[in-house]
Parts: sequence; C-alpha cells; structure tokens
Amino acid sequence: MTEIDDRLLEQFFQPARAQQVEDNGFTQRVMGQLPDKALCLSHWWTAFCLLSGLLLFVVFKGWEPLLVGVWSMIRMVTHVHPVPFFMTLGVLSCLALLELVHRMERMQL
Amino acid sequence: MQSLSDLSLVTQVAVFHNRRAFDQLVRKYQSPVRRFLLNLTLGNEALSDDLAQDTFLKAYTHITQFQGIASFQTWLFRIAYNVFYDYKRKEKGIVNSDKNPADEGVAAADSSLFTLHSSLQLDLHAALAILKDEERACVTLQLIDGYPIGDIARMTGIPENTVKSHLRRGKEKLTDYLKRNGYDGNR
Repeated sequence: MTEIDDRLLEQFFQPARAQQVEDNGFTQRVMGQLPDKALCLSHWWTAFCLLSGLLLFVVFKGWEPLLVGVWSMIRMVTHVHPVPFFMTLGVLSCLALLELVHRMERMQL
Repeated sequence: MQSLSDLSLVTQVAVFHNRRAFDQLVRKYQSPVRRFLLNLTLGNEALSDDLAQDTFLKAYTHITQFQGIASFQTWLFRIAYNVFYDYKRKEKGIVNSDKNPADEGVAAADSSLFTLHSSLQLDLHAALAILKDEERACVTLQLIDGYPIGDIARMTGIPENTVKSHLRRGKEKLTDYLKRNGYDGNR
C-alpha cells in the first residue's frame, strides 16, 4: 500500500476546511418542523398551576395545617408507637423508590 | 466564553423550551453540521439537508440529555453521525446488496455531481467516494473538522484503535488516489 503523504492530504483538504455552507432558509425550515406547541403550552400550564398553588397556600395560610401535621408526627414518634411509625416509614420509602425508578426511566429515554 | 453562551442557550431551550434560543443554536451550527453530512453523502445536498434537519430535530427533542461535558458541536456531530448511520442501515436494507461497495461509492459520487458547484468540491467528493463510510467519517472529522482521535471515537462510537485503523487505511487510499490523479504535481 502507498505510504501516507500528510503534506499532500493537508494541501488537498485545505479548501474544504474553509468552506462555509450558506443558511438559505435552512434554519427557518428546521424551526417550522419543531414538535407541536402543545408541549410548550403544557409547560406554561404547569408553571401557572404551580404559581396558583403557591398563592393559595399563602392566602389561606397553608402552613398552619402543615405545622399541625408535622407536630403530630413528631409527637407520634416521641410517644414511640413503633407500628404506625414504621408503617409510615415503609410507605414513604416505597414512594421514594418509585420516584427514583421513574426518574431513572426518564433519564434512559 | 463561546461554550458558556452555548450552555446558556441550551439551558433556555431545555428549561423554558425557548424557541428563539434554539433558533440561534441552529443558525450557529448549521454550517459545520451540513458540511459534515455533505461530505458523508458525497455532495448530495438534498439528502444531507434532510439528514441535517433530522439531526437538529433530534437535538431539540433530546436536549435534556446534553450534559455539557463535550462541546455542543461535538454532541451535534454525534447525533449527525448516528442519523447518517441509521439512514445507511435503512438504505442497505432496501438496496440490493449484490453491488460492490466501491462501485456503489463511485455511483453515489456520480449521481451527486449535479448538486456540486465547484471543481474543488467535485474533486473532494470524488476522492471521498473511494472510502468506506466509516473511513470517510473518520477522515473528514480529522482532516476537515480538525477533531482529535478521542473525540472522533466518542462521536462515532467506534473504539479509538479502530478509528486509528480507519484513518490509516483512508489516508493510504487517498494518497494513492491523489498521486494516481496527479495531485502531487507529477502528472
């Protein structure tokens, strides 16, 4: 086989390196074919719902029942009722595990 | 600085689905991506533009998978190569496989002559036509786009040693071709 001539190859490919491809409406065509706007709308809807939720939380003092719930949970733990405590812990662990699996699936997609 | 602005644009696309940000990315990278695909398809402009469109659409739908470890252009080239590879696989399934791969390459070059504008491009694509697909991808990525072997391996998914072999064989074939056709000034 012929020995490689790097200088000859360099010389031959030099003009190709400087070549620029004009856009000529290519970007517009790509932008016109992007997936449906429904996806974009769904994101705006999610943001709207999130903001509404936060607003309602503040207006109706949502932290009060939350604090009561947390306080009763702390009392439950300190009174050492192992069965409901470990049941709650088990349910929370299952939920966390499910969320983890779901996230991993989405990452693989 | 350049990669920072790219990262900012990618973040805007990924988080807010900002189409203007993606428009800027397409404008910025359409030339290298289309040139890469143009060389892989031996100057077939219509086909390379279709593949480039697919590349950018895939980039948009999978933008959250861009981790920012490599540059955005490297990531795009990887998608472009995969799109081209998928196309060739489908094409091989359709076209009768009795043909000699070398003849097929030359035929592809001939059919694309109508889309070429200058004798330089014509020479380039005729020379690239003598290479196998993988050799052509490795050679164009190194000699035209200036990527190191490690990046080429990541983009094509081919092991580094195999990339080196493709480069060596491709360069040998091209040197031989160029000398036989008098590019070394000895015609």
